Amino acid sequence: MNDAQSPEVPARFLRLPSIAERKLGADFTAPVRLDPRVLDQMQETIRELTAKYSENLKAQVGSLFSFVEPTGAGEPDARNQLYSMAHEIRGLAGTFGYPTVGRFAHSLCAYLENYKPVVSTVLRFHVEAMYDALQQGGGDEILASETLASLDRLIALTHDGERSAG
Amino acid sequence: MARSLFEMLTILVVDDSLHMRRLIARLLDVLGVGQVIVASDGEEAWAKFLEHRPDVVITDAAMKPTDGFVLAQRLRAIGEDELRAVPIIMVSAHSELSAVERARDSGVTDFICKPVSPRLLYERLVGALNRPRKLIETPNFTGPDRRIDAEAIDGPERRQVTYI
Repeated sequence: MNDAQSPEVPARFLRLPSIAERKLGADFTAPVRLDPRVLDQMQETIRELTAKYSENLKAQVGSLFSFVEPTGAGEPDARNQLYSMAHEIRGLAGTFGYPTVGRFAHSLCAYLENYKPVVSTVLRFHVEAMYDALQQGGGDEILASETLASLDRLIALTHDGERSAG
Repeated sequence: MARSLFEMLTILVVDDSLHMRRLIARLLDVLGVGQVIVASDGEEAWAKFLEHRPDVVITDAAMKPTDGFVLAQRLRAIGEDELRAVPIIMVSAHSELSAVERARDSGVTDFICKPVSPRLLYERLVGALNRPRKLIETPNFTGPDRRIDAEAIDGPERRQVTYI
């Protein structure tokens, strides 16, 4: 590689010992494996927090319905609220045992990210899918995959080949 | 030994979701982390970082008014070496390549896609604790040096390097 292809970039390195070495000294023994008992405790912690989160998730999904029509009508505040709530659901639902709800939320976020304007029918389909999955105690993965495929077809039909408008 | 190391740690957890803050803080608590500080956005995190000088930062990406990318850039611009080299683990629901690249370019050390699993959180944390902290600093970028062995590079592809 010649100079034209690879211009020299002045760089310097900062090299510091690991945090383990700084805390424990040079002859430290690094932690590597997670104690199965600690892992059990961590999973128990998630189960404890799931009950609180479930109530919140039900309320969140319920309130998503109120943003469907205004977002479809092009109201930016409603769109932002809908996206913000769906984004939080996609990040949290899977951790707390609702992976299918998280998948529908992910699809809703992707739709909002990639299309403008958006259509109420598609939004409502997403929110109803989340609601149904919650009503079924989390939903079925195979059914969720089929529903998401249907959603993809609906989006393709609704937008008839138009591409993302961000 | 792992326990004793965790007890010595202060970790800053930044997320605009109360549930995610609570979850990560509780998981760190179970691991035996000595002190967990929480913040709900990059601005609050910046103030708490300067106050508590944590060993590790675990941050969400999308937050208002200041997101995790801007927070990472600010941390990488700190004058003090120990603080500037803090491991930053980004935890985000944005799993697309552009988000990961943006995190990398902001100086983030490691990236976890939500949903979070306890084992993954542990593995990334232990990785951040065990690895020597090497930052590369150029006019346009300050962040972890991702080359396996920077000293092994020689010949025409070697950049000008000043060790400090």
